[in-house]
Amino acid sequence: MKTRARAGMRWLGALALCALAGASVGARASMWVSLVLSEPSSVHLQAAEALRGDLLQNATLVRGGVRVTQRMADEPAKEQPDLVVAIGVRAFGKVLAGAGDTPILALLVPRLSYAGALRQAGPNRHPTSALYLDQSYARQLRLAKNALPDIRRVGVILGPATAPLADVLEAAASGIVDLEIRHIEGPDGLFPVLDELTGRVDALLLVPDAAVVGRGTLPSLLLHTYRRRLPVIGYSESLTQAGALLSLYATPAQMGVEAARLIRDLAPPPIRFSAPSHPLQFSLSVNGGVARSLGIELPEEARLRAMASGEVGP
Amino acid sequence: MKTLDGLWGGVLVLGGVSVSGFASTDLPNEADFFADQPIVLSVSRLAQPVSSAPAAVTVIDREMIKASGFRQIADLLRLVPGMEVTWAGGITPAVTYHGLSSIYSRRMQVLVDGRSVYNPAYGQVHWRSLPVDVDDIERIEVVRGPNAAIDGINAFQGTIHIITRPAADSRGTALGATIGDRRVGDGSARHGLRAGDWDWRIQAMTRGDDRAEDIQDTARENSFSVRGDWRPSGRDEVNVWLGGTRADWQASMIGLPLTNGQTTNHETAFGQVRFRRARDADNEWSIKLEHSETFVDVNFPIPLVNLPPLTPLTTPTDYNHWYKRDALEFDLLARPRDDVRASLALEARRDEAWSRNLLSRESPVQGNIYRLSGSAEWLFAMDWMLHASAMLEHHYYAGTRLSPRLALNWRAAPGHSLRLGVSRAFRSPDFLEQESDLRFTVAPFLLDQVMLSPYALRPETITSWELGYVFQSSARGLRGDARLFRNRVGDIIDLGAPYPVPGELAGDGADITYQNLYKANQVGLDLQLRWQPERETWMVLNQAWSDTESNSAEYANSDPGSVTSLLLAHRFGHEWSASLGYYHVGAMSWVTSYATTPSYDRLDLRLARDWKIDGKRWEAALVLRGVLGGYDEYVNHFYRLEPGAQFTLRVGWN
Repeated sequence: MKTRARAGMRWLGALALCALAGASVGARASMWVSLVLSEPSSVHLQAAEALRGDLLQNATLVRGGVRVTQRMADEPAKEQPDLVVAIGVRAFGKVLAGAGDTPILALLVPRLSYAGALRQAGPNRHPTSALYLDQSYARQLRLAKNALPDIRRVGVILGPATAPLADVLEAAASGIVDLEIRHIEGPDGLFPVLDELTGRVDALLLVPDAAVVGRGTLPSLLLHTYRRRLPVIGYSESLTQAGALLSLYATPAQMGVEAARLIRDLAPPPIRFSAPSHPLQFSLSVNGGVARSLGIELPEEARLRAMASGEVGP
Repeated sequence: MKTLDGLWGGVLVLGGVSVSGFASTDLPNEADFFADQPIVLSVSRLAQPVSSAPAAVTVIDREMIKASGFRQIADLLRLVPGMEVTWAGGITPAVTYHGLSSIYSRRMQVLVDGRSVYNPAYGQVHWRSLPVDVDDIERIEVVRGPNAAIDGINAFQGTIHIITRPAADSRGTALGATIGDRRVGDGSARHGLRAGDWDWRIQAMTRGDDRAEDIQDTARENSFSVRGDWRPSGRDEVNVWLGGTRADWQASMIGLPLTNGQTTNHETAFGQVRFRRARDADNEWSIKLEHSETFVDVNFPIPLVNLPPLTPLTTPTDYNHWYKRDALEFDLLARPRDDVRASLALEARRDEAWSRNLLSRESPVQGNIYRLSGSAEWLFAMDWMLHASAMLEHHYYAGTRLSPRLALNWRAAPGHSLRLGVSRAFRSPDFLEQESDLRFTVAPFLLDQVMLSPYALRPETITSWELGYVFQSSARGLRGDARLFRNRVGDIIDLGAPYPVPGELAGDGADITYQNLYKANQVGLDLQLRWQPERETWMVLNQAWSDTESNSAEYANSDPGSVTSLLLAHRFGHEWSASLGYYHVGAMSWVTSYATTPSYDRLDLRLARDWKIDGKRWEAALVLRGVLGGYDEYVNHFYRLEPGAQFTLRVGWN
C-alpha cells in the first residue's frame, strides 16, 4: 500500500514536473514583448495600447503566442524580454543605456533622434531598429507635387537640430521636385531666409525644429508665407489647423498598429531586425479655408490619399 | 542655444508632454510632432476668395502698394476700378466710387483693423490723420457696392478695409525718409519686438507737404501707433491698438468755403482692444471695445468786418469742434454644417459731437446706435452657393432699418464663377446734416443765418443689383473680374433752397439748408484684370464705365463716365525693380463745387533698388509723378497737380 502510494506520488510528481516543464517550455516559446514608455502621456499610452491590442488580438499568428508587459522608462528593469519596444526618445535612450543585449525597437522616435541616440550610447550590444515617427520625405514631396501640380521648387528651412536632414531630403526629392534648403542658426535668422525663399520656391515643407516652428516663430512664419501666397506643407494635424495647407502624419494609434505588424513579422525569437523604416500608415489633413483663400483647387481627399500611399522610399 | 531651450520649453508645455531627453536636447522628439499649435490663419484672418464672395472685392496687396509709389493712403484707392480720388488742396483728399460725392465724401465706410474711421459727426474721412503708415499696410480690401449687412453702418457706396500688418510680422527695426518737391518731407520709424508672450509693433511717423502752389495748404501730421498681440493659448488671441495723430493744416476742414489764412489744428487719438477665441479653423468669436476722439480747432486769424462807428461785429471766428465715439462689438463666425458658414455681429455704439458755432449750442449732441447683423452662406448644391445677410440698425436719427443682401454664386467651370446679387443700404444723416445752425450775430441781433437744418431728415437709400463674373487661370497667371451693376439711390441729402428765418437782418433766410432732395440712377461696368506672365513681371488693369441720371444736374455730372488705372511692375534680377502707374479719370463735377473738373491722364514712374549689406536691408526708390504733365484735379487751376519727384530711402534690420 505504502509502496503503491509512493509510486503514485512519484507518478504524480513526474507528471507535475512534466506539466511544469511543458508549461515552462510553452512559456519559453511565447514571445515576451516589453513596452517601455518615456512617460504616461496620452500620446505614448495610445501608441502602447494600440500596439498591445493589435498584437494580442492576432496572437495566434505568432507561434507560441505573445505576452505583452508595459512599464515606464523610469521604473527599474528586472526583466529579460525577447523584445523591448521603446516608445519615445527618452525611453529609447534609457533602454539603450541598460545592460544586456535585448533587441530594441524604437517607436515614436524621429529619424534624427534615433541616429542621435545611437551615437550617444556608443558601442552597444543591443540590436536596434526603428519605425520612424516622421513620414517618408519622398512621400511628402510626392504628395505635394501631386496636389499642386504646378510646383517646381520646394523650400525647406533647417535649424541646428535638423541640419543633418539635408542629405535625406535631397535624396528624397530627386526626381520629384527641386529642393531649396536653407540653414539657420536660430529663430532670428528665420525671416531673412524666408524673405529670400518666398520669391524662389512654390511651396514650403516644414520639419519639426524649434528654431523654425517654435511657439514664437510659427505665427509669423504662417502669416508671412500666407501673405506671399506660399503654401505650407506640415507634419501634424495641429499644423494644418494652424494654417498649413496640408499635412501628412501618422497618429500614435497608427504607429502602434504598424509596430504590432512589424513585430509579428519578426517573431518568433530570436529577433533579426531589418533596417529602420518610415511608416506605411498615414493620415492626411487639409485646410480647406487656406486652400480656398489661396485659390488652390486641391483634388478630393480620397484622391490625395491614393496619391500619398504607394512606395515609401527614403 | 539659450533661446532654443526657451522655445523648446514653450513647445513642450504646449504639447503636454514633458521630455527631459537624453543629453543632446537639441534633436526633435515626439513632443515636436504632436505639439498643439496656435491657430494662426483663422477664418477671419483669411482673405475671402474673390470667386465665392457675395460682392465684388478688390484687394490691394503690399506689392501693389509699393509699386504705386504713393505716400498717402487716399491715393492708393486709385487702384480700385471705378474709384475716383482727388485732392481739393493738400488737406482735403476725397475718395468716392462712381461719383455722387462732394469733396467731403460721406458715403463710404472706411475701417482700419475693423475700426470705423468715418467721421460720424461731420461726415467725411480724414485720410491724412489716420495713424497708419503706407508701409505698414498688409492689404486693403475694397467691397464695391453697398455692404451694410457685413460692414455695418455707412457702407453705402462701398467699404474700404485697411488691414495693418500683425505685430509678429514686423520684427526688427525699420527707418524711412522721403523727400520731394512741393516741400515733401516724411520720416518714419518702426520697431517690432517680442517681449515675453507679446508681439509689439511701435511706430512713429511724420508727414508734411505743400501740395498746391498758389493756395495755402501746407500740412504736417505727426502720429504714432502701437499694436500688441498676445496669444495666451493656442486658441485665444488678444490684440491691442493705440494711436494718435496731431496735425497742423492750413485750411478748413468742414464743408464750408476755404478761406486764406484759416488754420486747422487736428488731434485724434484712439484705443481698441479685441479678444478672439478660435475654436478651430472654422469657428471663432471675438469681442471688441474701442474709443476714439478727435478735436479740431479751426481758426480764422483775419478779423472780419469792422463797421465804424458801430462796435466791431463779432462773428464766429472758429469752427472748432470735437467728436467722440465708443463702441462695443461682438462677432461670431461659425460653420454649423459642412455646407453652411454663418456669422453674427452685435454692436452698441455711442457718437458724441460738439461745436459751439456750427451747431449753435454749448452742449454736445449725442446718439446711440445698435446694430445686429447676420449672414449665412449655403453651398446648397455642388458649385452653387447662396448668400443671405442682413443688418438691423437702430440709429438715433434714422430709426430702425433693415439692410438686406442676397447673392447667388455659380461656379460654372473650374476657374469661372458667376454671381447675381441685390443689396440695399441706408445712410443716416450725420450730426452736421441734422443739427447744423451756423449764424452771424451781434447780440441780440441775428445778422445772417448761414446754415440751418430745419427738417427732420430721412436716411438716404440705395438699392443695387449686380451681375458679376470672376475668373482665374493659374496656368497663365491671369485672374480678374467684371461687375455689371445698376443702382437706385434715393432721398439724397444735400444743400437746398433758403429757409425763411424770422428776425434775420440779412433777410434772405438760411443760405444753406440740408434736405432730402435728389434721386439718382446709375448703371455701369467695372473690370479688373491681374496678369503675371512670369515671376518677375505683373500688371493690374482696372477699367470702369458708368452713367448716372438724376433730377440734379450736379449729381448726374458727378459721374466721370470712364475711369482707368494700370499698374505694371517688373523686377530686374535681385536688386532693381521698376513700375509704372497710369491713371485716367473722365470729366466730372464734384458736388457743390459748381464747376467741372476736366478729365486727366497721369503717369507715374518708380525705380527702386533693394539690397543687403551686413544684415541690413536697404531700399531706395525714386518716384516721378505726373510725367505726362500737370492737370487740374479740382475746380480750377489753383488745385493742380504738377509733375514732380520724390525720393525714399528705407533701411531695416532684425
